[in-house]
Amino acid sequence: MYKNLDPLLHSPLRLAIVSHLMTHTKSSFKELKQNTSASAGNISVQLKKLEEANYLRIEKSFLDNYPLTQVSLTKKGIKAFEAYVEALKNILFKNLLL
Amino acid sequence: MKTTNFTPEESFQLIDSVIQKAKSRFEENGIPFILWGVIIALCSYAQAYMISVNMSRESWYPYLIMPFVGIGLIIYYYNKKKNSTPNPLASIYGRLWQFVGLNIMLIAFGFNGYLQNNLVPIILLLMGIATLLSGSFIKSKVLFFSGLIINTSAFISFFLSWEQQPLLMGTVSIFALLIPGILLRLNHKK
Repeated sequence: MYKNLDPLLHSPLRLAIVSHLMTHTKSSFKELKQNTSASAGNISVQLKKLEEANYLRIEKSFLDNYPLTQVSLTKKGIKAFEAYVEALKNILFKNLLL
Repeated sequence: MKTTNFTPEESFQLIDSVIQKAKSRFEENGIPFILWGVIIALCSYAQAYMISVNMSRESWYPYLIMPFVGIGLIIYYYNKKKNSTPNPLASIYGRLWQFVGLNIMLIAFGFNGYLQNNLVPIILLLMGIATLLSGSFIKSKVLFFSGLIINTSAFISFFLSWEQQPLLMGTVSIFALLIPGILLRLNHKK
């Protein structure tokens, strides 16, 4: 329906993840789960899709012997988000004029 | 959270709500304003009292506590930062106060002889700009107007004698740092 909007970002959960990462340079999986209120499985699937598109990078490490997954946006991801917001503005502006 | 495609309006609302969440997490910073509000008020009123009892030469001694409070706050924030998610807005905010704080310490302890009557107005100018910018960063009207009050008081203090300036500084720190700090804290607890 909205051809100018990046289909990868035009999904509520993926957009929530990317918006969160725009305000936090790096975020843990746990924080993403708290902020999006989505299930761990659903977040994992969406993160994988975004990682495959090279929009974000996932780093796995350990903190106090517990596994820690941290996610951050790549430059491509930041540019895609900015382009998405710009396209969104254009659509809303056109809707306003009609 | 629904998984179907959604309208551009819903997209904007979602982006806005995520940013608001990041902003509210950043509103915790009421404590430094309360701390500095109390310390500056105590130091200023102590100085005013010492001047009134003919201890003008030693009246700046209370301010010696400030570098230690500053170092304590830097350590507190460093530890807090280590245990939390990096936030670009929080980094800019932290750098602003670190830089302003360093400049205030340098001019207060290194250039007081040169600046004399202009020392307090310059300190208030720096504090006013930093508070106003902090208010703009976190969209807090309380901090924004506090910045304006501090900034205005800086210009008023240019017309006051050095004996009167500590009284103004103490009063300004209560109304433009301590009270806004308490309001931020109460707002955050809600």
